[in-house]
Amino acid sequence: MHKKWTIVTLISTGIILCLIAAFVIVIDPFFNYHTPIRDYGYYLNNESYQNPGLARHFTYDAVLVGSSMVENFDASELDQMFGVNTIKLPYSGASFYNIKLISDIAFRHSDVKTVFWGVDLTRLSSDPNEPRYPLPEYLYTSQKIDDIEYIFNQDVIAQTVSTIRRMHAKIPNTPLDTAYEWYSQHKNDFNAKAVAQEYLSTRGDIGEDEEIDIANDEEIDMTNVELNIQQNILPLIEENPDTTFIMFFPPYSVLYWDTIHSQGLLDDYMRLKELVIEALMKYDNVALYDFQADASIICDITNYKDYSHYHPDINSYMVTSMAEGRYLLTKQNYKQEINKLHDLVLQIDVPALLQKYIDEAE
Amino acid sequence: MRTPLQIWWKTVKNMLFNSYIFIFCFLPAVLIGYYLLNRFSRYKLAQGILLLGSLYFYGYFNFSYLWIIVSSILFNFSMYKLLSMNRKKGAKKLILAFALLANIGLFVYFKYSNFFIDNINAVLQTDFFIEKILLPLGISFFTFQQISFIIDAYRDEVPDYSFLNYATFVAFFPQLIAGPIVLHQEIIPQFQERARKTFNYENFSKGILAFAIGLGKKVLIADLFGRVVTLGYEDVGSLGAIRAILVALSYTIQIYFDFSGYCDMATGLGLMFNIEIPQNFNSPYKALTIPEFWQRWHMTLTRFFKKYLYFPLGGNRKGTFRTYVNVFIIFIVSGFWHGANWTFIIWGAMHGIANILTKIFDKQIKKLPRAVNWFITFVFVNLTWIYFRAPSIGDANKLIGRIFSMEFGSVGNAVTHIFKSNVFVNSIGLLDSIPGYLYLIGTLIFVFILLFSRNTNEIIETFKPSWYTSVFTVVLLVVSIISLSGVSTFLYFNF
Repeated sequence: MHKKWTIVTLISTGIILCLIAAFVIVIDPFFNYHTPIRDYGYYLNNESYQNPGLARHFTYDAVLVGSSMVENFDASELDQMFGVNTIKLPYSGASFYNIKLISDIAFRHSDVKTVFWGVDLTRLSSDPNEPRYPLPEYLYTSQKIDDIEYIFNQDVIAQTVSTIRRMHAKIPNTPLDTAYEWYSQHKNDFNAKAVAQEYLSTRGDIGEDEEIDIANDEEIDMTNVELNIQQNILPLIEENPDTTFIMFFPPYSVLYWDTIHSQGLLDDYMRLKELVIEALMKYDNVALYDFQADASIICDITNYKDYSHYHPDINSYMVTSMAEGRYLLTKQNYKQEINKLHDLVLQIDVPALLQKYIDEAE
Repeated sequence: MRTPLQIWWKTVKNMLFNSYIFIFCFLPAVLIGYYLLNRFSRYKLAQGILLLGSLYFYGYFNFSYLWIIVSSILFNFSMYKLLSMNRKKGAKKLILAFALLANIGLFVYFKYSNFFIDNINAVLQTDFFIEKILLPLGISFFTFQQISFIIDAYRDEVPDYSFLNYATFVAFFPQLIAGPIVLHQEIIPQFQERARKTFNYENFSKGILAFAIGLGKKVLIADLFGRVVTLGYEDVGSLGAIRAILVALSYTIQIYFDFSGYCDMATGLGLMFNIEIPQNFNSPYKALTIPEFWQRWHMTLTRFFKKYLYFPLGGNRKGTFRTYVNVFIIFIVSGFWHGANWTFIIWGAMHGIANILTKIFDKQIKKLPRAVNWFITFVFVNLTWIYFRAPSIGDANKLIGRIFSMEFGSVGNAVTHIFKSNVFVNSIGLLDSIPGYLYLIGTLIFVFILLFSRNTNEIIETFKPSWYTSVFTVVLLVVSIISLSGVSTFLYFNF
């Protein structure tokens, strides 16, 4: 009797596990093995888990990389204005390691002709060997053996089941063009008065003329900056000379720069920006755009839901602008653009600016 | 640039029982190797596989640990041989003292150096610094195991064992990392029994059942409540009374299901090799008094202290006061053994005092209703576990303060979400409408039912193969295995 029990129990366990594995592999909610098997059911809800699958199996000739600064782009606009077929591969809070990692996968599996890249200067001081947030590495390797964490995974199984239920309900797959957008869930946060009030309350009573306490500032980790540039940025550009890199500095609000200024780091960041621009300008396949010094965008607080996250209309504006060659940095104008931003930040009266939004609303 | 494979490999660098690599690779490999060799009467080779497999298991966590346990085994075996060769009492005493010093010294060095330095710095206002010493896994267990062996050898209570048998006894992977603390006489003779070298379906089926139960306890219950505990200790000051009580209760649940779960898996694994490993837990939360609690909790540790510390100190044969002192010493040492932090020592002291008080008020306690005794004991255990778990005495005091504060607060969404998010709720949306706190209450009720049911040892003792137990085991194994991994969703809003 014990013999029968043992054999039945072990075999049943094995069979059920195999069925679960088959189930997950066939549906494959995170595209680890293949693209969606139907036009219904699949939903894009987790960049860390789904980007590698998108990069590996989907069809595209252009990629969009960066942080939440790029998540609101409509890829169809990029496609239309640049004549490409773009896939979005952003990572919220992306470090340059994230970007290098996913780009490598994209280049390995597709003939990538264009890379749209939102460059966030602050992330240059992050660890060049670490993703910003932990990743499910087993989905980023080409080995099959570590996939056991994907196949026998309670949450993957849960998503597999929900995918099937959505298939039955004929809910169409999340459109790739607007994947990972966050605007629809944060519409109400675009409240200039609230943003202004919040900033003023944290800023305290720092007057325009007050001495910045340099001793307290944080330092930019220049070792990491160098490593990020040498390890995570330049190799992509150098190893793919036939690919066009359309790189841009996204327009954070003037409040973002004001914060940096209050930390005594404004000059450091301007120098950093100069360093990056000069490193990138050496390459023929790089087109660099700078939206950061445009006062009509960055001083208009209605564009923002916080110090840096801007409205999707700005994303669209950036697409058109870049396609039409505006905001392009050249060897002749980049220093001037940097100075323009620097001076803007120094000259602006932030409290007065913000007070307008508070008064207006009343 | 570090590749994802390199990063993943590092995370997999542990082969705990509750891991894919242990269940699907290591265990089948060792079982097959062991029984195949035995089938062809290569008994020594089979035992060798067991030993090498166990060392591989240990070295897998960290290769540099291996030399520590290997040297420890070689050293203690030589001491054992030395003792058996010497007839003179004086020489034997010297050898024993040397062996004990070496074992304890190694153990103290690895476990307590950082603690000692920190305390010296605090008291003397000095600034000594040593690198953080990594604690070799299981050193508390294999040290005590070998100490018991050496003392028995000194007392001429150890027959002639081969090196292979001794080494396997110490390194046997089911009990290497987290006990039970086995005695030589309950394990080595089993290694020597020819009958046990033939595959036995009865033992194997019991082994599978025990392993499945242990795995479920650890992965499905302990880890679940562990999340509540981790969340709670992130900011103790912000807890309302209800949350604070929940955090304390959750740890009480977590530590039992984690430790006894691991011991159940050890029992199960042992049985798969036809080896009976001693029981370590006997439904401790059923205890009516603290002394009874220690008869039911970590039984092999209690046994060790009784045999090798309590009785040598005189036990209860040197007068009442001395008995109390002896009891107190045991619990201070026990606290210390559990961890290098004042919290553990306080925990031990509190249990020591409770033991003494129980002895003093024995008559009165016996007159109280069982339910009252149970309640007092259970509450005491809960409160003392707080000191065991808290990162510092201050945090422990704070949590207790929060429990008795009059600010009740609510359970909070973060906590109820922990109970609500599982594969069934996440995939079958209709269970979503059931409010989170009902999941919490339901789980607690379920856990309490488990605590008052038969424990694993009782279950396998009376195990009779049936469809019911087969289905139960299959479900438990499958659900546990798929719970070994999850998907983390990062809800950070950051660029």
